[in-house]
Amino acid sequence: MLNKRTGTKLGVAAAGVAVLAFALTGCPGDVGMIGAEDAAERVYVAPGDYDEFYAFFSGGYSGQLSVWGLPSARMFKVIPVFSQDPETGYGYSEETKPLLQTSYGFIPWDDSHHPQLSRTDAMPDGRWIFINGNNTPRIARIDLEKFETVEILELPNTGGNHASSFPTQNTEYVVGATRFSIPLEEDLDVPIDTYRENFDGAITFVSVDEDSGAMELAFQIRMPPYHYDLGRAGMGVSGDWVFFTTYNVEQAHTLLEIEASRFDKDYIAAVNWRMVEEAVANGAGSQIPGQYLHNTYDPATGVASSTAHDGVRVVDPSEIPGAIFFLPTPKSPHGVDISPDGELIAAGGKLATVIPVHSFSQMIDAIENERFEELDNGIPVLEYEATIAGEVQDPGLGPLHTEFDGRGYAYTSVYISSEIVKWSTETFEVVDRIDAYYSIGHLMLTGGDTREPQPQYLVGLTKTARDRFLPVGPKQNHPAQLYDVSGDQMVLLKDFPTIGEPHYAQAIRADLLRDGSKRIYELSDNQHEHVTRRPGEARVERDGNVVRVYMTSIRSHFTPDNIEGVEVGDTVYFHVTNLEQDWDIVHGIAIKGAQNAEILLAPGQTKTMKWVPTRTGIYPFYCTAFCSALHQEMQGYVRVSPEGSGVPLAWRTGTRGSN
Amino acid sequence: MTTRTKSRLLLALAALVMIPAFVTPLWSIGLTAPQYPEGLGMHIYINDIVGHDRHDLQNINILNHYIGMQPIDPATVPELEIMPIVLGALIATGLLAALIGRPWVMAGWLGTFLVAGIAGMVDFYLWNIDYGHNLSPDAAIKIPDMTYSPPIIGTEQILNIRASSWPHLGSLFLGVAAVLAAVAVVMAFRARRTRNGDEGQPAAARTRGGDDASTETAALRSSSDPGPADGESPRGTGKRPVRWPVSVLVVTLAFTAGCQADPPPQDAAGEIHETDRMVYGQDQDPFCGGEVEEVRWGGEVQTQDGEVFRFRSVECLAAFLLEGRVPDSRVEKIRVVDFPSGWKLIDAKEATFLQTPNLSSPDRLNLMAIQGDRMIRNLHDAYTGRLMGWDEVLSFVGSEWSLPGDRDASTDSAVRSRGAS
Repeated sequence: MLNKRTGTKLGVAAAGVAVLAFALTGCPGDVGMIGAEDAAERVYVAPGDYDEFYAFFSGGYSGQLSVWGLPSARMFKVIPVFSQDPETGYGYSEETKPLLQTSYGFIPWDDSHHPQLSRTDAMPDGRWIFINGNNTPRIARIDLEKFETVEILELPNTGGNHASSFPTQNTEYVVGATRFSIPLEEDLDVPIDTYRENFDGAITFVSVDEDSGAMELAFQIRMPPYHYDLGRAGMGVSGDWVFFTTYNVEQAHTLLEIEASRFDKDYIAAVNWRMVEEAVANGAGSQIPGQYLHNTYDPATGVASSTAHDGVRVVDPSEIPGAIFFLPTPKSPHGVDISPDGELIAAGGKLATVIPVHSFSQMIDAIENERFEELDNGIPVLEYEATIAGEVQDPGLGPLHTEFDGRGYAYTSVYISSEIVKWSTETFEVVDRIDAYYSIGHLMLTGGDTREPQPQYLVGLTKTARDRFLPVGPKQNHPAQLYDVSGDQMVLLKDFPTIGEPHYAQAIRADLLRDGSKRIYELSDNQHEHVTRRPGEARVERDGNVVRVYMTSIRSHFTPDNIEGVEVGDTVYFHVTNLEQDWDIVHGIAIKGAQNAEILLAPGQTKTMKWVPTRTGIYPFYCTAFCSALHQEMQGYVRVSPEGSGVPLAWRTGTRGSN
Repeated sequence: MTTRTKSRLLLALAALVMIPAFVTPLWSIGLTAPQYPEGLGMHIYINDIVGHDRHDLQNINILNHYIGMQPIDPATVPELEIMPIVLGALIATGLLAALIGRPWVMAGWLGTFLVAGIAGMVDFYLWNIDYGHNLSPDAAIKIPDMTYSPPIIGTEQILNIRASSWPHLGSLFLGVAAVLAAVAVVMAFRARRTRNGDEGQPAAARTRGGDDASTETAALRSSSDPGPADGESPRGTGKRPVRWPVSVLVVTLAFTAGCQADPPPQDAAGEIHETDRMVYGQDQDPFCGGEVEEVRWGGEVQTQDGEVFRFRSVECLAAFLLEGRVPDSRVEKIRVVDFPSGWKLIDAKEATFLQTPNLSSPDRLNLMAIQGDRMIRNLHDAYTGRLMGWDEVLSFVGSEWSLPGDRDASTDSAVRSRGAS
């Protein structure tokens, strides 16, 4: 019965979609098209010249973060974050393995969604970029001097950390929130259909140390078991608040596609983090169990380590009256995006036919005048009419996510009708629209989520490429489009394939990062336990069946490069130090038969490759990075003898060595 | 204030102006290469050698080790300990000379200063020669006859590296000191001359006082001299002290001119004119066909009417001529690429050719053109084979490729190749 009715409804809806899509978009026209030469000129960055912006694209199911230049759309680097990276040895070297540890053990993968630059005064300050891991809930911090992941914090009591990793306007906190509500006692063994009784939502506040950037799980708020989809911290007037969209107010736990789409309205949750912070400081909340790992990378040693925690302070909304409100919002909203002045709260109601835009000041009025519709789990639900500032009509089908240009316009990605609509934040009327190729998710306007947007470029992050590029089989990479938004009309400049599935992106003016980018690790500052600072200190040591090779790399030889005395059954650690102190002079190491990836070493770095030889023989190892004209000559041999054969340890390079 | 007092004060000032040279670089050597667009470099201080950036010295040494240069280590350069003492002594004696105030003492000090400066430059030159020539026999990259001394002043292309060497701030101070001292010496002599009652000098310019009783008269020809000194007829030995302060001025001005600004930016091709070199991939070989992608083995034929044919190998060039594609009467110039330089075009008739079994040219006759006895010897030692003159090359190519060889090996080519055997 249910299925049949639903099917009929869907059929009608689909027909409606088709008609409406046509009505809204009309025939494909030449709106927003410019000459190819003109577009080419606008994205052209001459060889040797630099781009205006750095852009950071999340890797989605690649788990990584890629770094791009705008407007050229050239990719500079992939920063490994949540996934092992055999290209660099991230997650393979002994130094980096701890970063991927969780309370569930070593996890070599995650799904990274929303990169967020650290902020000062609601503007990116170029110090760090945070990104969430959705699957096994985590937040990572990437250092923007080194462009390397330096910290990963696991979030307990969370199922799908999706509404993350949004920072408050001075990066006091980054937030996480559960996308799939689960029992807060994570190991609780209960029937799934006890959802209403046993499941909870959790919003997590992670504090960020002002100087070091170090993260700490500050507190969580126990929320009704809805799904928390996206978040945003306020700016300026709304700077004390964080907003989250919710869906599945229906509290479904199966066939959510239908079951969680029943109600006309879900909520935006508005949380006054300052009040919660204060309440927690005054003893609100209680400590409940919650296992999580905190992995940090020590910049002095270059070695990551994990600390296990058990227990987290959880605050119940009833303990913090006046700190949390629900704003009814149609319908299963995705994005919740704040205008540069902090006043407008635009929701992307992905099943809605309008873009509802709330007003922060109206929200404050409504709270003061207690214009509540009802209480939901003790949280006041404000009257829709009281907070709504406007509804953008005819925004297309499936509006998802909005960014602002600071000149009175907002840009919303619209998934189903595959377009971007530009609307006035004064009149809430659509003033321009342009196609996306195809099925756009998030969009990113340069600085479009900050206090002062730089409305030059807009990147649309789309989900399917279909016919846009030369075909590469049934599964193709996700594309992105670059638009020029400096004029009245949006202009498509370029589309290009990306890596993974970029869910969201950030951009920052190039000069804020360019000059601070580190060129080398100072060898004299290298505090690694197994550093070898000079070839003369290179050696091989045995301790039981552990053999440690203290090795140096410099153009174009390893020291030592001949090693004997290793036996089958030994565990061999190559502690290799790259002695170079010159920018971008990288060495690597790999040895035949090692069940491991290569390890790459930046200038001045020490990294460790583990190898457990299983067969006797002569094992060549070599430098995997083309370091110099004599790169091929940068190699060596290890002799592996039978277990217990007693071949004495010996090593040499050239005429220098142990004997 | 009398001219003499002024001259003494000026000399004292000259000595004091030298003080900053203790803490400012005297010289700067910069190296750029395709891989080092921002360059590497070192500043030479009176007591140290320091990289432009913190690790430049290490990085220069890493690059240098491929070609067998000794590492540059300030601790092993004794001059860096001696030079500060010399500078200190110069400043002290300069002040002393100013105190004494006798023109000859002052001139003597200036002379010592200049001799010390010249000695410093010669020493610098010798270090450069030593670093550039005294190469390790174990070097990975050995290029016969190639040396790597950076220039003392100016810019030079050394393999893939463009080396520039220019005086820096410290030298500017020393240069200013030299100029001031020279002016002081000139004034001192002038003061003495006017005091000795030179008639040609306007009375107003005369000075009084002073206890110098030298009998010599100095006729000054300094451009700064407003008096009609040119008309003077210098007597006896007076001529020398007159002339050399002027030349000192010229020298010091020339010396400090280099300090004015950074070296003028030079085109990557520098002074090499496009017509004097062959460029990869720019020409079609008219005999063997295909683009001239390797330049080192190639050459060119220029006709009297200005047409230029470029070849990827000497054998193609020779075959082109042997087949008479351009009649001999039309040929203006036959030039081949000097193999060790890799780009320089030299007259084929002046070149010696090594036909070696150990290196392959694009068309397999392996004819490398070389110039200079020592280079010929080195390449012959390195690659072995047979040395030929141009006429021998023609007949060799003619017989190898069965072409209409209309020439014989001439005797003079055998003579030319003698030096290398």
